[in-house]
Amino acid sequence: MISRMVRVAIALLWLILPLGVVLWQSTTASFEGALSDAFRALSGSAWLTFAVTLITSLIVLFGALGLARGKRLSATWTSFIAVPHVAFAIGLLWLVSPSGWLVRIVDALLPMWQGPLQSSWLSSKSAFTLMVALVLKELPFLILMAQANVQQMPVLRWQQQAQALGYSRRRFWWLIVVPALLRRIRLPLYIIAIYTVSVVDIPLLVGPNAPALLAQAVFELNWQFNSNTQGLVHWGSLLLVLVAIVTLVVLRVVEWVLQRWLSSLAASGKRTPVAQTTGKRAGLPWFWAGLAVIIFISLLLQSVQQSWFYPSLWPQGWQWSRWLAEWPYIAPLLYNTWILAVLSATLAWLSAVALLEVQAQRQQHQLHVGWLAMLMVPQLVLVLGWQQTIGPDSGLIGLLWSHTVFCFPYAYLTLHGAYHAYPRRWLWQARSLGYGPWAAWFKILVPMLKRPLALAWAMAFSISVAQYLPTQWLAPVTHPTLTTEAVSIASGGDWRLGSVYALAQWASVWIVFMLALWGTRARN
Amino acid sequence: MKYVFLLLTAISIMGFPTNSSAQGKPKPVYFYAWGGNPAVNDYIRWAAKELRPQGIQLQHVKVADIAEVVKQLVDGQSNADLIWINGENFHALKQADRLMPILTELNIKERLNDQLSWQSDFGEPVADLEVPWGVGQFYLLTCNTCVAGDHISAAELLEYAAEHPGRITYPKPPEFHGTTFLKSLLLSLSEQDEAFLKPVDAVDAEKLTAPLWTYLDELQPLLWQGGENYPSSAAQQLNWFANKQLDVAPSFNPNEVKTLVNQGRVPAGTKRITLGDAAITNSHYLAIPKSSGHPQAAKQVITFFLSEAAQRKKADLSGWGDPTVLDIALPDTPAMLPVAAEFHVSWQAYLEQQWQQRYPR
Repeated sequence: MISRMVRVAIALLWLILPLGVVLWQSTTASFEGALSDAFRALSGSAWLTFAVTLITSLIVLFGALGLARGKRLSATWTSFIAVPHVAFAIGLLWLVSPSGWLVRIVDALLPMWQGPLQSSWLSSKSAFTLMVALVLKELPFLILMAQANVQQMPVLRWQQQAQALGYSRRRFWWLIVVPALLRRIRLPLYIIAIYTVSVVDIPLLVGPNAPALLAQAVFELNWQFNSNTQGLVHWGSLLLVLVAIVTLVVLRVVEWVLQRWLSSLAASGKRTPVAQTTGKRAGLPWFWAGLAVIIFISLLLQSVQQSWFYPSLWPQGWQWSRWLAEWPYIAPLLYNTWILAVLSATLAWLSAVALLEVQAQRQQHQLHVGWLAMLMVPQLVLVLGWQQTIGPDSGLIGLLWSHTVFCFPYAYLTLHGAYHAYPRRWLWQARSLGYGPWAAWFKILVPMLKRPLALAWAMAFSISVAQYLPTQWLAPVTHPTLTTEAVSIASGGDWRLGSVYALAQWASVWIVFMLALWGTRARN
Repeated sequence: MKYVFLLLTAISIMGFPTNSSAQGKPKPVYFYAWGGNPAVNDYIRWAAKELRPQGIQLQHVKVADIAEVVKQLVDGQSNADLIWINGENFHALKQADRLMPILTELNIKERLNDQLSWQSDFGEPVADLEVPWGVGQFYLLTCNTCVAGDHISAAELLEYAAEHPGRITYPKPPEFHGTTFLKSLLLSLSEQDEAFLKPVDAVDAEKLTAPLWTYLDELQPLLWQGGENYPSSAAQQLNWFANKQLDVAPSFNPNEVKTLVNQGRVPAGTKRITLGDAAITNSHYLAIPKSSGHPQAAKQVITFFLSEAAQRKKADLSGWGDPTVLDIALPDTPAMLPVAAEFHVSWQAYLEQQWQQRYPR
């Protein structure tokens, strides 16, 4: 009875209510203007969004399938996943833009060559740059998800059998493990795809604008004031949903084709008798470590430089006082960001734990898509519906609720594997020794699962810190955060100031992850 | 769980400043203003500090495009007390009857510099509804070794682009620097036709703008990235100009050629040239929406912004450097550029739409 109430309450709060508001809103929405007009205005954006999403998702998918075989990413890597997208994009942009650090190094090494680069490939604004940023950011997430799933499979036993039959390690991986893995990482992959369809802050910083990605186009249209753009906004968000659905269908077909092809390869029975190399890719973690460190150094240097023009390799002037001068303005934003993140992460975390406990008691170990529904709808469509219902500046409660709606599924997803792998006989034994259900849970389960529990909270926290659209559309006046400010400043073009805010944002998330990891480190 | 408590304690220990004040609660004034320029933001921060003793808490709500607020005001859901506008945004609010008459009441008319022709905002009479705050002049920043002289005509620009493909571009309209770039080209191509001062409906717009589209068709492939992408903002273009990726960047502040060098945003040796013979000149204004919750405090803020001290500080070349609207002498500031009158407001939307129909989106 109680377990049902828990599930109903969680579903009501974080799924049915937010979705219902949007559905109700969309029935009253005015679809002014002809569909053909809207399509003509937005079709370029829609195609671009579809292409960017599909290419990004496929690169991430195959990257993760190939790389998950390598060295296991340690928990520390989770903290890299949590580098806020905005900070990551600002740092990456400085690194790879045509007058950025890498090009300057080439320029310094090749005196004959006259920079800066004129290519549009890694230009500061292009679909290509956007995809590089998204792939670099999303790939570790999927690798981690894949590795977590591989751990739950009896890979070693399969491998012994396969080797006995003469399959190389590589063949074994692709023919035996990958087909099983594909199904299991379907959800995280879809989450990445939907995120890419509806992300606004990253395209605002590094994406193309002629045409812009669909979400960005709708985002910008939504603040135009003539009446026909409102119809366009509604058609645009409908189109966004359509692009999302089509992308997921295509990804599903790709998976199906891949499964068929791999199983036909397996059925052919071909094998390479030569023993393959070990397949350890020790270089992989180092690549991301290096990237994170370089981006961090870039942001740090940017935040204290006074002038740093092409082709200087090193800042030409310094302004150390910038941090001190900005601090009075960062402090309230830090406060806003932390209050919001702590509250929404805690709400989301409590809901996720309660739900997982209820599911574990009923032995429902499957990860149910329904609970991740909010990650399967383009965020822009959701937030637009909420904004039209509760107004453009509704205060803390609405904002907190909107953040929790997005934090909850991530907390649930992060904790799901560890929670269901937990051997519950420990709890039964504790009960048989006279512990009450609460005491058993707190004294037995919590200490054993402290790290996954802490990381799930930290993940929810980082999700809240990184939220741009809900904050910008639901409470920009009463509750600006580091993220909204960082985007606003960075789009104003002052990298020095933008870096200060990006670092403050990054530091918030990093501190929480380090606390979670350090506080739960294994003793002895 | 204990980590949650740990974090909560950490936050409470950090002790953030609270807004409690001895003389009671300060009145908030929500000032919606474009937030894309750190120098402007710093100036508003300074003003907020100066206004605090008057019991006013000036809160800068940074918007990417003030049109956002215009929409909310027209829809009747906005808490804005003070807004920074001109041109089509003013026109829309005036038509929707959303602005409070303030100019006469504030009694500053005689202190304003009448030579700035601030009485008309993009051809639309100010009609007591807004107060001029500063002056904008459109021109291009370029490097000493890039473009010679102090102005460049449309034809010369095309020549330059042909010699240096990929070095010229403009922000994507409807970004206002981009739209003004188009207007300047139009003026240069039509040899200062006065028809642009009239509403679009009153003239043969198609015929008047035909030379522009022919011209742009030629210019487009010579632009940065072959005209397939555009800077999203003037600030972005400025960064690329500062790092030698482009030869020009647009500006709407005649003093910015000095202030940006002072701020380390562009290298020394940056100069200003007008696109065409003269710089399109307009004023930007402050207005109070009828729906404002704190109109008295907002009026106090305007009075402060129009004070001589605040206007001098605004024109200071180490900060924002925005020209004053008062009739006072500022010896150190660069001279104003030759003036070309701003187009009638209706051209804004017309040019944006025509441009969007013709070029990539």
